[in-house]
Amino acid sequence: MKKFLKYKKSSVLLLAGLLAFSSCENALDVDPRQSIDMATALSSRETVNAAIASAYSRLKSARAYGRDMVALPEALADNGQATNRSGRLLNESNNVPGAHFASWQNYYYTINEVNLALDAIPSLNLVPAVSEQERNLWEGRLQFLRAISYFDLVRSYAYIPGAVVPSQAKGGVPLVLTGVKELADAVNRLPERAPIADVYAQIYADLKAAETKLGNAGTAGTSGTAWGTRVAAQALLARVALYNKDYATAKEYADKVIASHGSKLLTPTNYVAGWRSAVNPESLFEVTYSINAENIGVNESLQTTFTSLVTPGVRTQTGGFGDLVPTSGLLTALGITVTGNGTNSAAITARNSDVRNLLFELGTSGRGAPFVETTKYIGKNGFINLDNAPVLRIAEMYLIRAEVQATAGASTFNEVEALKDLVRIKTNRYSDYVGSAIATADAALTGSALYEEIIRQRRIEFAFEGHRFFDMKRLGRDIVKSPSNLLFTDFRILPSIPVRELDGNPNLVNNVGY
Amino acid sequence: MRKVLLLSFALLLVLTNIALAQSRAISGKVLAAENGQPLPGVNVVVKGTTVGTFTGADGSFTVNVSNDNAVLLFSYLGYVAQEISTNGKSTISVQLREDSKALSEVVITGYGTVVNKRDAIGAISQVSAKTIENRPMPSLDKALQGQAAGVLVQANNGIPGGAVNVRIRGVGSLTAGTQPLYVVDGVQLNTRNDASFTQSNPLAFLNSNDIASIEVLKDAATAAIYGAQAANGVVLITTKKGQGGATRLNVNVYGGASTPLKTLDVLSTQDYLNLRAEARDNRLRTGMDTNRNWILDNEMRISDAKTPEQIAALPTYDWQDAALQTGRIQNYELSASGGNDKTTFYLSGSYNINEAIFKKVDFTRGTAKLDLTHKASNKLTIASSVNLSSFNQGIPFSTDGSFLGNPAFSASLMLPSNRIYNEDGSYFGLLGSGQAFPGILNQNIIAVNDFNSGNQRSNFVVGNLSATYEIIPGLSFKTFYGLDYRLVQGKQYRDPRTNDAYARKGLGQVESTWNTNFLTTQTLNYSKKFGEHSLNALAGFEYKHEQQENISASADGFPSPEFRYLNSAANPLSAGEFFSEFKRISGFGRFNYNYKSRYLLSLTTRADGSSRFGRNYRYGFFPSVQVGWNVSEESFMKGIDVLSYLKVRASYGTTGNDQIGNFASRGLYGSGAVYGGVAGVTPTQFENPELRWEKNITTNFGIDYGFFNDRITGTVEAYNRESKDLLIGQPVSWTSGYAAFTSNVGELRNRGIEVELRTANLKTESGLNWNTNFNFAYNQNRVTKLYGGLQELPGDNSIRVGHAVGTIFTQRYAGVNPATGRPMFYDKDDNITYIPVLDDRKVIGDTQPLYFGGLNNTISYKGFELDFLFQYEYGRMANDGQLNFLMENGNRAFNTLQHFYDNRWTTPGQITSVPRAYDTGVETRGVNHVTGSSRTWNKVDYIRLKNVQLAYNVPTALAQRIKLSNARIYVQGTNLYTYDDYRGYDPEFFGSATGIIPQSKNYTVGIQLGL
Repeated sequence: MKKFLKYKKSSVLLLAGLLAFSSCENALDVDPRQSIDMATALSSRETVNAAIASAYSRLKSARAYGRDMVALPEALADNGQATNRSGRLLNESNNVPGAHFASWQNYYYTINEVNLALDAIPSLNLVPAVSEQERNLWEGRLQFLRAISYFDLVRSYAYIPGAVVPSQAKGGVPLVLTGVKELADAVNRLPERAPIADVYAQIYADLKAAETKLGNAGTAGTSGTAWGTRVAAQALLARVALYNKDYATAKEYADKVIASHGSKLLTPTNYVAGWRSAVNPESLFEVTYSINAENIGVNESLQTTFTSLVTPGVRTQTGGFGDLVPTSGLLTALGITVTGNGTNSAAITARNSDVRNLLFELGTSGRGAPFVETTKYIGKNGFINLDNAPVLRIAEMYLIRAEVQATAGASTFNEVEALKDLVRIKTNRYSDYVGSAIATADAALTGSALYEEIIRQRRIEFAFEGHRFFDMKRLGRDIVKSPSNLLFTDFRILPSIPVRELDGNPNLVNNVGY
Repeated sequence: MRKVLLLSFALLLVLTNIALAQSRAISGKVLAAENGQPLPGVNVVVKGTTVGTFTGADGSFTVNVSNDNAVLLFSYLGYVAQEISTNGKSTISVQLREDSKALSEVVITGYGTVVNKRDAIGAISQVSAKTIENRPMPSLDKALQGQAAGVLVQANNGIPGGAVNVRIRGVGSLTAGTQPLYVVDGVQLNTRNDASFTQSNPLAFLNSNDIASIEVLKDAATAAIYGAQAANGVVLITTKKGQGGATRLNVNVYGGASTPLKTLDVLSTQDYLNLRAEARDNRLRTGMDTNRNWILDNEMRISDAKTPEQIAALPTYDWQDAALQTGRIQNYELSASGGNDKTTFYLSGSYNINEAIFKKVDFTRGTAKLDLTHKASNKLTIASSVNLSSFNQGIPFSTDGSFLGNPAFSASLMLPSNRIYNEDGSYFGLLGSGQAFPGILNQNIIAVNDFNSGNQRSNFVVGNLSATYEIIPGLSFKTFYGLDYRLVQGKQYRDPRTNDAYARKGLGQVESTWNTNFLTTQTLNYSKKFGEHSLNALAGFEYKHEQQENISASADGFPSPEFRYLNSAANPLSAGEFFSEFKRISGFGRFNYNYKSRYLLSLTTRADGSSRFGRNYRYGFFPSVQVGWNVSEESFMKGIDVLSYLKVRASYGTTGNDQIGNFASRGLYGSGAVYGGVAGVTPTQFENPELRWEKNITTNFGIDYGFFNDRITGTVEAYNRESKDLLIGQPVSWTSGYAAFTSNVGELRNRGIEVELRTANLKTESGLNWNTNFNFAYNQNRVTKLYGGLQELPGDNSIRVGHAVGTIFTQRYAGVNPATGRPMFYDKDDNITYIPVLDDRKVIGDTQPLYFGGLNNTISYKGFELDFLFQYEYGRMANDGQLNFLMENGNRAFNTLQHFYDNRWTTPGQITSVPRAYDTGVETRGVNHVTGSSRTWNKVDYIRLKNVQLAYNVPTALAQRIKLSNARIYVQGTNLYTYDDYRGYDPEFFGSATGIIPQSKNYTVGIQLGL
């Protein structure tokens, strides 16, 4: 009996061991719970919509419109000077080699997400079936996004057509139009830089497709500013064509946008209020931050980059750093007279009647001696450091049309019409423009004087919105700034392509100087 | 036939173990050889049987033996075991000698296999309980420092319970984990740091005084029994077990203080003003007076001091002093051990407080441990060991980083002219007070530290349950179940009075992470001696399942600083949830054989299937072989008296590394992106069906030696450790939409020599003993191959073929131009340049030490014991982020080190290594002198007096007079002295060092009483 009991005990133990063994035959099958399988990920309406949202969300990155695409064109050119409070943008404003755009990764990730979604849409097999309207909305939004991504890449990393230093020109940027799902595709993706013209051609193609697919007024895809719309595609194409020195297309598309949305232009009375509202009424496309969880925070958000203020006019409360502030040249253009800028006795002593300068005021002393700072981004989306970045505003269309009509030798050359657009902008920006001495003087502008006034208005209108460096670059101009000028022929006009991209890809050629 | 019957009868007798044979009682007494005092609790066993007992409080015992030639085995922890033949005697008096060697006579090689040291063939380092006892270190990994050859231990920082970097025999992986596997009493721990608000080192759960021994399995052949997890070596921790006999109570209390290793010598207000004025003047050339006034007015905000006399009278405020503290260290322990011949137990509880040198950073731990072994029958033994532990950590502003509010970052960089307190003792310069707080570091960090709050609690259950059944003599089956459960709960509150949360009116964050790590092992063990042949075989099966879950939330907009819980907040910000898991099934076996303990052989193999790997490579196979020869057992060695012991051994084995993400092989779309109110899905990785473990193949040669009757003993090991199929994030072009995928490419090699030397320097009749343990390791690390012919890993220039992992590839600083004071660099052709470009980079060194080790001395005399441990590192370089800020020397509104100020270039012709001060740091057509060059890489060579302990053992006679079995008083010091020329806080760190809580010096006094 005793032995039997012992036997029983041991068999129970052995049994337990066997049970433990057999119960885990399929043990190695586990699945993640916050992710889905790539092979079948984009096979429903919900996931396609979500994939589009994810791709658009990349525009919010600090390497895109979260900061760099807005702030760096000011720092690299003559609009912004660094205050050295956090140390950020100091190297950029001094044009130190290597301190430049770094959007490569973010935009190519965006492009891959777009490509994957575009690849998946035709093979969707859903009940009810995908309607044409539905597909057009998806594809239109995606192609608009791909266009803006390639445009930002090519204007950052390559010369702009018509303003090329031939000895230093190494082409455009790689063009990739299919998504990567498989290991082999990723490993073999070693593209070379496409010619600049090819990249612009692709941007044109995507924008024209988006224009068509995003339908007419009243149908889906025309309203709102957060996603690509028909008018946003048209407006972007006007800008792309302006860069491309394709003046006819620029005028054609500026005309289209002004015809449908020209009335959005703010007036001197509602200009400031427009900039304080969550969505700028002039905007055709804004990179949108809806909730505070999307906040970039105190280091790199647009608000902290440009101002130490939390609330306009309240100099007792310090928020961000205010790392990049207007140069004296920009302040002069804005019509602001300031004494002791950057010292504790700083004060604005006079302003002209340009309402645009009301978005510039003295910052706090909380991070060091105060400077005049811009309040274009002041937490207008409900929380400190949370600001939409307007990318395309209606004012730009007027200024594009003015510029292409004031450009000598262009097929669109028409100084009378150019002046009309210039006057339209200035009437809507100077509180006392009509009948003023300036208006009288403007009426007499012709030739390069007219042209330069248009370029000057661009500088004022888009100060701290990410235009200045590209405007100088596309016009092939030297940048006159302190501590030293940046000549157009200097290699520092172009950034280095990320070294890790060059290391692994023998087909890719870097810009010179790096 | 009769013989057979007789034999089977005898067998039956043995099997049932009935006491039919004539038995007789033997009684006696066990005494300590050193002092003649009785030893209670000594285990007395009749050899070859399970019959046994323990000595009583007076050292006496009685045991029944069945034959006249029975042999009694006397064993007691810390003493040399003895075998005594009874030879028909009925009373026996035994004297046990204290184990003169620091280490015990056996080693543990995994899955409970205990091997006599003479029969061990692996490269195993052993750390005994005694050497780490009472060290005021919350985690046991720190206690390993300097103790074992080839085991490199580096502290990330001085956060009690913070992360520690442990590497055995060099870095064996590029991007997969490099930390060893830790096994506590058979439970394989998950040592990932899951904490968000401060570092919570999972190894801090264990009170290191509950540890009986630590074995470090270094060679792949020994570690191969742990297969795919063992590539970085295995650390086996055995906790204290019960000893039968009268219950022994032990009380141990120590207390003391932690103080800074050093404070940084930064500038006074006057020097700072001069430096910044000079820097500004060098840039603007507007005159020193103008610039001095400008700095005073605009940067330091001092408007009422202009004359030299007024400036000289300006006060300097010591922010480091205000941020630092003398931390408390306290430890209370109670343990009980006892039992009878059926059941033994060990029970202990402890409470530990350990405060860092920066205020509010602390560690408070309570532990409870119960270890129980019960012999249910002659064949069945059940055992359980449970460790309960909970520690609470006060959290720093951040564990590292250049956050303005981080006192560890800002205290040394703060403008020295900034006041700390107002006249009335309130904080100076609070927001809303109207007092401006000048400088980039625009906040009163002392107030920030005081106002902010937060803590993190880590709760652990690490335990196991097992049953061992002896099927036939020599063959036993063990079923083992282990659990490693951990819950880490953290909470952080940014006070609305501080800069970071002023505008948002307070920010609260909470997070909980729990890990459930279940393990079961079924093993069969067979041990048998056939004449001169002994063999031991082990076969087993194992299943492991680990789950990790996490929830988090944050909110801002609190009504006032009194409200610190999320339900008080106006704006919920985020809510998060996370889940991950992996599973592994394994089979393993080991076969040990020796002939006369002279020729030794061991074969090990393991097969692992892991859910982490690609679908084409689910299962890995890890074989190994070890051979050894105890030369000194040979008859031809008997005459050689000088050489008392010699063993040579060799091993070859394969282990694997599976320390990658749980789903690294999968093609996935993840979530998290949001745009325009729509939640997104994002392609995060594509599938790699070929993904498999990283392979580690080590060839090891070892010699164990003893000279002069083992007065000098030790080990020499030489190894070649080849890592293949390295798990790395293989970069792909960003134009693919991905940065990298986890892949098996590339090879690297570690080659090294380890020496352990133990000497009994002095051993006198009067009782003066002096023992020295020295260990030394040399390791050469080389990346031998990448993929596709690449000589450098794209995106990581510290990984280069022909160089060590962590090679420093940067521009070279050429010193200061004596004519202008500008920083110069070498270009790629060794010409001077002022704007070095990427092309100019060269290899200047690496970040792994070439030599490291420790030296431990123990001197004892009549109850007095002095221990001191030195630990050293040589040949690595480090980039100290904090030092880089302190090197700016007037670039912007940061304080700087006196060294750089005193040595800065000021006059033409001056030869110095410190460039002239220049506002912004970027000279026209130049680059910042602090960033990206050899100038920021420092040699990290040091010798540190890691630990000193002086103890006095009260003589037993005296102790017994006050009803104690023993009493010991000790004083201890940690990190007391460092020989180095390092300018930062501490040469011994791993990581960036920017804003880290530095390590501390600790002083403790303690008393240990046996009741």
